[in-house]
Amino acid sequence: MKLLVLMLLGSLAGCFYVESFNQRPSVQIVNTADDVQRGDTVQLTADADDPDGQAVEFQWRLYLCTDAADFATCDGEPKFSGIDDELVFTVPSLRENTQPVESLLAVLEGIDDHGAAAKPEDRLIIPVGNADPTIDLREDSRYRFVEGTPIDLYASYGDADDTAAGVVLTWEVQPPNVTAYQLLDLGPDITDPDDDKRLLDSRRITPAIDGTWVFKVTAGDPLGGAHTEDLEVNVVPDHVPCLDQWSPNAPVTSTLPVSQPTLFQIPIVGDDLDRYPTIPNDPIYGQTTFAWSQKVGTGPRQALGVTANSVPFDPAGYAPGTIVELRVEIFDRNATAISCSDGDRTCSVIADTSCIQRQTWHVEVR
Amino acid sequence: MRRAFVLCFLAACGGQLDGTSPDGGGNDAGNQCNVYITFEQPIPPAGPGELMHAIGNVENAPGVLTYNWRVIFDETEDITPILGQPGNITFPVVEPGIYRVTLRIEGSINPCTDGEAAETVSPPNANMQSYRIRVIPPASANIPPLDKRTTITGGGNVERSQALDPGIVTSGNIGGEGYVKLMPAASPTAFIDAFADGTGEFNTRAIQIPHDLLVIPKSQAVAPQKLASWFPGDGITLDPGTPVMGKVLAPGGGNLIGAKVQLMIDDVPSTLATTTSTGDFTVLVVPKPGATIRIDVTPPVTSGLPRLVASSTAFDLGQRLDVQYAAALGSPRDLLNVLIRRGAALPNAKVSIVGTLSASGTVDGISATGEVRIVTKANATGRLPSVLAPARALTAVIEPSPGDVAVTAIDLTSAVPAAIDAAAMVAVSTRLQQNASTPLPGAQLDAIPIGALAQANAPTVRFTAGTNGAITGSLASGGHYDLRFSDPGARVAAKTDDRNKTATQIAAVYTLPAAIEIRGTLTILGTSTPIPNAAVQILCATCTGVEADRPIAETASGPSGDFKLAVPDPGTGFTTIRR
Repeated sequence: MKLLVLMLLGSLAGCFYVESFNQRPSVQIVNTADDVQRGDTVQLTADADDPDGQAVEFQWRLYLCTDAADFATCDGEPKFSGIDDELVFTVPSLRENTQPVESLLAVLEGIDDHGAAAKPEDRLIIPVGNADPTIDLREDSRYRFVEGTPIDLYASYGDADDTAAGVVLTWEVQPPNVTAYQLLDLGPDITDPDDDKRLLDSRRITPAIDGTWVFKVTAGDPLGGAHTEDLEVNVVPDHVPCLDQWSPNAPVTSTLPVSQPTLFQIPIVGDDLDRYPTIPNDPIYGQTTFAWSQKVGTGPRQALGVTANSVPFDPAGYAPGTIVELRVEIFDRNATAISCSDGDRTCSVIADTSCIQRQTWHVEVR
Repeated sequence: MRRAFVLCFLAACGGQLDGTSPDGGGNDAGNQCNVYITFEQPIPPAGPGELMHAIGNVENAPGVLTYNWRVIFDETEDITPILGQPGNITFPVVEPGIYRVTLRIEGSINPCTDGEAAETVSPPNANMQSYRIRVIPPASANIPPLDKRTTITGGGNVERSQALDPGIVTSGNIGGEGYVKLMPAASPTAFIDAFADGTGEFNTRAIQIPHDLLVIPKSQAVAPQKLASWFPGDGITLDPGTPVMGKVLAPGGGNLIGAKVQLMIDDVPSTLATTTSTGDFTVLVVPKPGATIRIDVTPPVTSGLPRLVASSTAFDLGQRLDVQYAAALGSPRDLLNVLIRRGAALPNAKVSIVGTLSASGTVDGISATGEVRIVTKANATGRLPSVLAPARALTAVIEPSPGDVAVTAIDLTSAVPAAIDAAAMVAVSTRLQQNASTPLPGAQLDAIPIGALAQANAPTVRFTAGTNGAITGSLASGGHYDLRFSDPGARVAAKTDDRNKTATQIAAVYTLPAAIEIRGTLTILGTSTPIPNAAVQILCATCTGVEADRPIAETASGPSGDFKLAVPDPGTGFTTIRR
């Protein structure tokens, strides 16, 4: 338009020569990245338009900020710079002042061949999102998750755009019923042996009741990111002991003739905590309690006072032909009463009749 | 420091066929390759510079093979093998113990399971000790037990994996209800108890080898008997038995009515008889020439007479057996109203009158021993009811309450005492240790009654060491015990040679013997299938009676069939005598 006016004026005033002038380029930052987070690799592209068709040289500056809209919250010096038509960088986690990076300020300048600078420069504020921390939970029990025994819980945690050390864990325990409990911290968190970028928090609980215990662990980072994981642990009741083996291995309906001194024994008792033979050198594992008794002929049943897993039987102590009922009953630490009638040669205190707590030998002295 | 070392060899062709005597780690045939390891014999003694040679045998493995070896000492320490020809390795055996070799084959077209074998390497001049190892599989496994002798060497742990023969289902018929004891002829202690029903049929699972059968019919019309060399599946024909008759006479010559009479020929009982009004009896036996015959006469409780026992190889079963109680026994004594006391009366105390009397009678002129075992109970005022006992020196074992026991000598020869005193239990105190600086909390001391206490069926008293290995408790005054020490924690071995001790003879400190471990894995013979939850016991090889059944060490096999037991270390130091 100006040119046209000049041309018209020139045509009116006579002809005179006016040299053309360099026009400023315009520049624009193109960002195709969505949802930028710390640790992401971002590529910004410079787009220039020069009315004179000249080449434009670029100058990038990228600042780390808390709120890029307020430059006072940005680092004084740019973190990244460049002169290419692209700027590629990885978003750091922290500013110079060790505060988390929450936004980026990208500044792009352009100058054409004749030194005309784009005005204004282009500025782009790029919000930096905060990745939530991550947690992996697992449980472990040396004692098969039986109530009254310790269960160890492990939380492996980290933060992709922050350090694990900045993450705070909160534990919440939901027992199956109202009961007292104590969640012990097993010490300072350590580097996860499986991933050195993560930390491992170890806790221990000794559930007093059985049922499904739920452990909610929330990991929070300094920027308010949070993530919660649940861990369900099924705590089982202490099972009654079961006679796994007995010797002599006589069916309960049979009469066993004994003419030689014989050791009646229970070589194996199956139990979750009080098995026989016991697991030695352990503060929790115990041992089965044995109670032996005998009934001679039609006489009363009498306790033998033997607490070991075996009792010797000498037929010489009885007249040949005497019928002796030798009985053993087993108990674990809960000492569940064996409620079957005295006449029952075997007894199970639970619905599973293959798990018996009483064995009776019907012995004929010969 | 020894490091784990994996060797890889390339074999140009696939597979080798090396003999048919695997030491371990075999796989099933078909599309599986078979990998097993053998050791070059003889096995060297442990020591600096000693080397052992293992050979990897690979069958049915086409392909270009890679051999990956691993040697572990005593399950804890990796040993660096020395390279050799493909398919074998040499490794040092400096220390005595168990060396386990594993071979993994890669590159085979057919899949290969790792081969594995273990060998015990003993120190030079290792002492040896014989035991029995007994394995009782769980009932659900349906596998006969194993009981066999094994000799272990001292100085290091010992490998004793066992492969159990699953046997076959077998049955037999003894013609009627009764009991059958199946004893493998080669290892009679690995017996199986079987029971025949009313039809005489019994069913069990037995190894396909000859068995001796002890058959005790319920019917008194058939003599119990032992059948030699029965093979599972064979028929069974019982000898009805030979009648043996006799008479039992009381002191003074009168007929003894209602006495129980049984013979035992070697370890086979006769039928059971009761003397008639004429004192006569008849039992059925299956005679065995040259056997020791034992006759057992149990008189009625009301007679006050001892039980008569006599043994001889000279009894003539073709003639009547005349049993005569000795006149010298005289009239029994009645213990009515004898006061049982410990200072004050002991109401409801259990009282056993026991004793062994020589020359209590004769059987066909051969002297018979009298055994006294009378059990009674004091009343609410601490006084005994009417009970007859021989007029002899005997022993009263008094139990005022369970666990409280006293042993008191009584002499009924001249008269009945007005009271029998039960001395208080004697306090005992001792300490169990591994060495002077290592106590054994949790270790156990079993005081096993012998003598009068055993005759009275007094129970074993078990003490468990507390902190610092200390034991405090009490034992019967006048009682005699065999002491048996064990450690459930397997830190030390059992100690079973402390015999015939009284409470005052308990030492202040007992140092339990150093242990070595017997380790191994239980599998089903011919397979690699493990046997979990089986009882594994180490027993005395030369003991008899109940002692033969008391485990020196016992455990249960784990989920992989593995087991570990601690036994006394026989040590080293024997001298080889060259002739």
